[in-house]
Amino acid sequence: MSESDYAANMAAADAEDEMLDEAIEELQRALGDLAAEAPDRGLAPEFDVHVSVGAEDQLVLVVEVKVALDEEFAASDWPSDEIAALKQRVREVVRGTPADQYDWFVSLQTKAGAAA
Amino acid sequence: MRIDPDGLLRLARDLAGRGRGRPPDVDLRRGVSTAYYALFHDITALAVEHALPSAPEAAKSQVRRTWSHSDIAWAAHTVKERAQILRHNAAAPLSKEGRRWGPLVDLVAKDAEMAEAARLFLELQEQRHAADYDHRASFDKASLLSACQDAETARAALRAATTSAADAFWTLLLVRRPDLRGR
Repeated sequence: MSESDYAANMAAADAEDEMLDEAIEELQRALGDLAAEAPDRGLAPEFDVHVSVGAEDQLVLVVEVKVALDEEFAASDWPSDEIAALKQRVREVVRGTPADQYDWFVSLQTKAGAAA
Repeated sequence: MRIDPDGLLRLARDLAGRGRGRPPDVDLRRGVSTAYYALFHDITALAVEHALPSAPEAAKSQVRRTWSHSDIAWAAHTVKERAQILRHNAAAPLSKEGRRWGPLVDLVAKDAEMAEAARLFLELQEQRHAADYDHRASFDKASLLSACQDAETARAALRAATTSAADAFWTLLLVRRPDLRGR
């Protein structure tokens, strides 16, 4: 590989990294807006986004949703409708940002479980 | 004896336990993985019923065995990407790769239920990968029940899709395989 090819590859990689960082920042801002909304206050969701390696060795964004549930709640107390609605809204938020161009998935945990 | 998706999903829920308390980490990981497998085996069952509805069960099982996780991920990924593009531009032309499959990709991707099922399959596959291989990943009861819920939603979406979209997806899975040899 020539020096100019190497430089061009490095520049392209930097540009991709920058695009990814911007996509994550924009997604975090959009999720922050969602967290500030009233309807989900019962679950008081908090969000975090990080990069991981996927099943096909690809880059994947993990959208962590941490909810205010007792980590040891009984399965019969699982608020399935509220959780389904929350995850649906999170997915809509991701789809509305440049992060949607990457592979991503929503990972849900209780706040206590996530901190463990 | 066929692998039963309903039974797998029941098992995944059982691994969350019935009462209060934190299930062992190994149960949580196995449960997340099992929720994914419930969807994986449901897809192969539906696909083979589409292709060979009147074949003996043994032949159906043999064909089901030929699909790999990557085969289904490829189809799901193709549909997900096309659905993303169509959301922004309903008249966007198919890519060169998409055109290889004639009308199949668009028939699936334009159906909201099938697009959602494809998305959820990919999400569950990534969670299963983390549950089975990532020592640093953490899971709790909410993660497991959420994965079960996603598997159930995806299975319902596969059945709520239009017949033409579902048929196109099963056909896409079939035509991409170079052979039907067992694995």
